Amino acid sequence: MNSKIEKLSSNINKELFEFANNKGKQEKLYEHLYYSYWTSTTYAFTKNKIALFSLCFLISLMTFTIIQPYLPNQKSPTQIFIDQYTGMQLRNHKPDSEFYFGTNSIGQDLWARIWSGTRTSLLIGLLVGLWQSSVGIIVGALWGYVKALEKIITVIYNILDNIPNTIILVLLTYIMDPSISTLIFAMCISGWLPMARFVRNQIVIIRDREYNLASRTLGTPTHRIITRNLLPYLVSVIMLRLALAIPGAIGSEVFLTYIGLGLPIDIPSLGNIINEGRIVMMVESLRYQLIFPATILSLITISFYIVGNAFADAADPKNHV
Amino acid sequence: MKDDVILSVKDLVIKFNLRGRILTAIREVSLDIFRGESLAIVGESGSGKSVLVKSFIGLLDENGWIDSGKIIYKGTDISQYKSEQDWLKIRGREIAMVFQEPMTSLNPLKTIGSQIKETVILHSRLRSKAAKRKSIELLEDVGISQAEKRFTQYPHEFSGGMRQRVVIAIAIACNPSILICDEPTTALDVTIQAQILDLLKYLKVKYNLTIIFITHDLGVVANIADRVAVMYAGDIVEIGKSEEIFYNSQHPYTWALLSSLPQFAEKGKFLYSIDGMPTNLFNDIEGDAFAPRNKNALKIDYVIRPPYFSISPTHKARTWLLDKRAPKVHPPNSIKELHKNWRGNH
Amino acid sequence: MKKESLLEVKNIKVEFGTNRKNKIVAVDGVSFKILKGESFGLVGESGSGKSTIGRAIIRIYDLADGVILYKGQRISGKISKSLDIDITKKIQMIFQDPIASLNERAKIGYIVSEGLYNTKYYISDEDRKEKVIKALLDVGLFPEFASRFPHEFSGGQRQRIGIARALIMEPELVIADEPVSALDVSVRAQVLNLLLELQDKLGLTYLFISHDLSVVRYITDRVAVIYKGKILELAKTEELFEKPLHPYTRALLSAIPVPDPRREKNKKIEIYNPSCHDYSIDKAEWVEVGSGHFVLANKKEIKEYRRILFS
Repeated sequence: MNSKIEKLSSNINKELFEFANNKGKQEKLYEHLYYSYWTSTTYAFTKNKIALFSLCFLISLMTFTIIQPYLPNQKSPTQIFIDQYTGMQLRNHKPDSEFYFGTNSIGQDLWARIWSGTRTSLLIGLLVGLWQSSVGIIVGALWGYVKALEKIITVIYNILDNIPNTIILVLLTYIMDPSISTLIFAMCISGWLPMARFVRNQIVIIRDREYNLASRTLGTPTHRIITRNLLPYLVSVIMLRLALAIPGAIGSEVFLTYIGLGLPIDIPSLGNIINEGRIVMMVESLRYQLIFPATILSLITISFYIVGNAFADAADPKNHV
Repeated sequence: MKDDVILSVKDLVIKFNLRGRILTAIREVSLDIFRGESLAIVGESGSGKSVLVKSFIGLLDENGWIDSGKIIYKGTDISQYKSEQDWLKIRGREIAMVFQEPMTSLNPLKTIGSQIKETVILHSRLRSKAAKRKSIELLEDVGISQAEKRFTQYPHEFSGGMRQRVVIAIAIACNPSILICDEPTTALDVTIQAQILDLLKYLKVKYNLTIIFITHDLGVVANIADRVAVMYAGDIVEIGKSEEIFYNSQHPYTWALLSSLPQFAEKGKFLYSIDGMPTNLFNDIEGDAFAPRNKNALKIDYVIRPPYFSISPTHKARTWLLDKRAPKVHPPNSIKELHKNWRGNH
Repeated sequence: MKKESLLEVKNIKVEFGTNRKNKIVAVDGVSFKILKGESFGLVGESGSGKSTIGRAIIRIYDLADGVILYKGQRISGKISKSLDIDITKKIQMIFQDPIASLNERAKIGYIVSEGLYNTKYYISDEDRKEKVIKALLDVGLFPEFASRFPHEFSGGQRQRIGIARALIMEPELVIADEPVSALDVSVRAQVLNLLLELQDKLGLTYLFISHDLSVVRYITDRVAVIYKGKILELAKTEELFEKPLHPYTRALLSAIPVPDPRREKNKKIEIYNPSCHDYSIDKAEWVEVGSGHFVLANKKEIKEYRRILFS
C-alpha cells in the first residue's frame, strides 16, 4: 500500500500538502432536497395508469352528462314516443339509430332517460357525499379532541348508529313526499356517522403527538389546533373518504329506489331505471333495458373506488420515495 | 484465529434511487471480518453503516442496489445473489441479524414460544417436542427466567429488554456463524443495555459467534468491541483494534467524534463540536469527504481522495495527515489526553 | 450568595387512567426546588416519571395531589386566564423528537410565531416578523428559513427550530425534555453548546430531563434521580457522581458505558434490587444527609450513607 503512494508522490506537487485554511465553519445551506407533498402525491398518483384512466373516464362521463341535453338530436327523457304509423306507443323498441339505447316499456327514450338518471344520481351522490364529509369531519374532530364533548357525542353516535338506516328512510319517505330533496335529507341524517367515527379515531391517534403537545404548551386554542395541526394531517384520508362517499350515496339511492322508497317514477334516476329493467329481465330481447343502466352504474362506482383508493395510497407520505 | 477471514468485502459500491436522483451510500468499502471477533462499526446517520451490513444479508431497500464490488462469504461472492431463494441460504442460517426495535422482528399475534420453535424447526432436524425443549433452553440461555411459563406468553407481556433477549434467542436458534446487531441497545435503558451487552459477550463465547455491532455510542463500543471501524459518508475512515482507536486515533473525524463526547468535556467550557453538516451523497465527492468540516484540512484533501495509511499491522486510517509530507497537526486536548494512555508504538 | 427559588414542586402526584381500579401512579410524592439561573437535572430510566413531571409543571397534565409554585405563586390546578398567559410566556418547553415536535404542514415562520399569536405578544405583524428573525438568528439559523417547511431540515436544525419556538416567548424557565437524545453525536455537541450559550446570554434557568447521565453530568449543577415515580436522591451533580449513596443511583452509574476500553472491559455492573430495602418497620423518609445532598432512606440506611459520605 505504501509503495503505491511512493509512485503517486512523484506526480503530486508538494504545495498540495499545505493547509487549506477553510475556516471550518461554513453553515452551508442544507442541500435543498426539494420535496413538495402535493407534487409527490400527484407524481405517485399519475404513476398508477389504471387510476389515471379511471379518473379521465369519470371526468369525461360527468362532462358528457352535463352537455348531453344540449347536443343535437337529443330527446326528452319523459316524453312518450308514439309510432306515427300505428298511433301506438313505441314500447320496448330495440336499440337503433333513432333510439340509441332503445325504448322502455312505455315508449320513453332510454338513452335520454339514462343520462338524465345519471345526472340525478350523481347530483344526489355529490351533495350527500359532501354533506356527510363536512358534518362527519367537524363532529369527528370535536369528538376526538375535546375531552369535554367526548361522552355526549359518543352517546349520540351510539343511539343514531343503532337505529337501522332503512327504518329512518322508510319513516321519512312516509312522512314527507317522495322527491329528490326528501331522499337527500333522509340520507344525510345518519350518513355522516361513519366519517365522524373515522375522523375521531385518526385524531385520537395523533392528538398526543409532540407537535400537538408543543402547541398546547404555547397556549394554542383548541380550534386552531384542530384546523392547523390535526386536519391538514388528515387531508389525504379525508379525500379518500369523500371519493368513496359518492358512489356509496349513489348505491344507497339505487337501492332505495329499487325497493320502492326512493324517487318517484317521473324523476328518472339510475335506481328506478335499473328497477324497470329488472322487471323485464327475463325476456331475452328486452334485457338491454337492464344492461345499459347497470353497466353505467358499475363503471361509475368502480371508477370512484379506484380513484379514491389510488389517491389515498398516493397521498400517504410513506409511499413518496 | 486472527488469520481466518470469514467475510470479505472488496471495493463495494452501493447506490440508491431517490425520486429519480442517485445517491451513493457506500463508496468503495473494503473490509475483512475475522472469525470469532467482535467488530464494531461506528458512525452517525448517513455514514452508511446500516446499509453496509444490510447488504450482507440481502436486505437493501427496493430502490437500492450493489453497483460494483464483491462480498465474499466462505468462498462465495454473495453480492451476486439476486433471488430471495439465494438469500434464504444465508439469512438467518449463516448470518443472523438483530435490529434496534424488537417489535420489527416479533409477531405480536403469536406467542414467543411458537416463534422460536418455528425457527428451530426450520433450521434443524428437530420435531415438535424436541424443538420445544430446545426453544426453552434457548430462552433460559438468553437469561429469561421461568422460561417454561413464559414460552406461552405474547410479546406485549414482555418488557423491552426481555423482547430483545427473545429476538437474540431467535437469531442464534439457527446456529449462525455471524451475528449482526444493528443498534440493538439504543432503545433500551442504560441498566438493561449493560445486561444485554454482557449477554452478547457470553453468547459469543458459548456459540462461537462472530459479532458485527453497529452503533453510534462509543461507550458501548468500548464495552463490546475487539476491533472498531469508523465510518463517514459511506467510507471506512479509520479501522483498528479497540485500544488503538481509543488511545491512538489518527483520523480527524475520529478525533472529532471522541472529543465531542460530554465525558471528555470540561465542565463550564463548550463541547468540541464539528461544524457544518454531513456531506451530500447525491453529488460526486472530490477528494476527502470530511475535508469541508475538517479544521486541519490540507489542499490535497479537496483534490485527491486519501489512501489508507498504516499505523500498525492492525490499524489504518484514510487521511492525508498521515503522509510523510503533511505538516504536523495537534489533535484536540481531549485526544492528547487519551494518547497519553497509549501503551504501544507512536 | 443565596439564589432565589424560581420553581417549587411540593409533594406532587400524577395519575393516569380513568377507572378507579386501573390507575397508574406515574409520579408519587415528588418535591424539589429549582433556583434561579441554575441547571437542574432530572435523571431516570423509561417509565420513571421524569417526563411526566416536566409536563405537569407546564400544565399538560393535571396533578392528583400536591402543588407547584412559581416565584411563590401557585400555578397548578385552576388558575386565572391572565396567570395562564403569563406562565405560557415564563415557562417553556423543548421536546425530544425533532421530527414529531414540529407541525409538518406548517411553515417555520408560523411554527416559531405560534406562541406569539396565542399570547398576543407582539405589536404589529412587522414586529412579529422581527421577533421571528431574531429568534432564528439566536439559534444559529438563517432568517430565510421562515418560509420553508420542517421536512426540508436536518434533525439538528429542527431541534434548533424547536428551541427558537420556545425562546421567542422570552421565558425564564426552560424545561428541556431529552433535547439531544434523538440527535447524532456530533450534532448533540452543537445543540448542547447552543443551550449553554443561550443560558449565559439570556439568564435562563433549565430543568434538564434526561436518561443520558454523561450529558447530565456535563450540563447540570444539581441533579435528582427518579425511579418509579419517586425521587431517590438529590445532590450537586459532581457530588452525586462521586459519592452516590442510594443503591439505585449506584447501579445506574455503574451501568453507564464509558468510552474507555480498559475500564469498560474490566468493570462489574451493579444491579439494583428493590427488595434490598426493608421499609416495613423503619419507614423511608426524604432526608438531608449532607449539605444539599438528600436521599430517600430509613434511619438504618441514613447511618450507613452518612458514614460513606464523610469517610
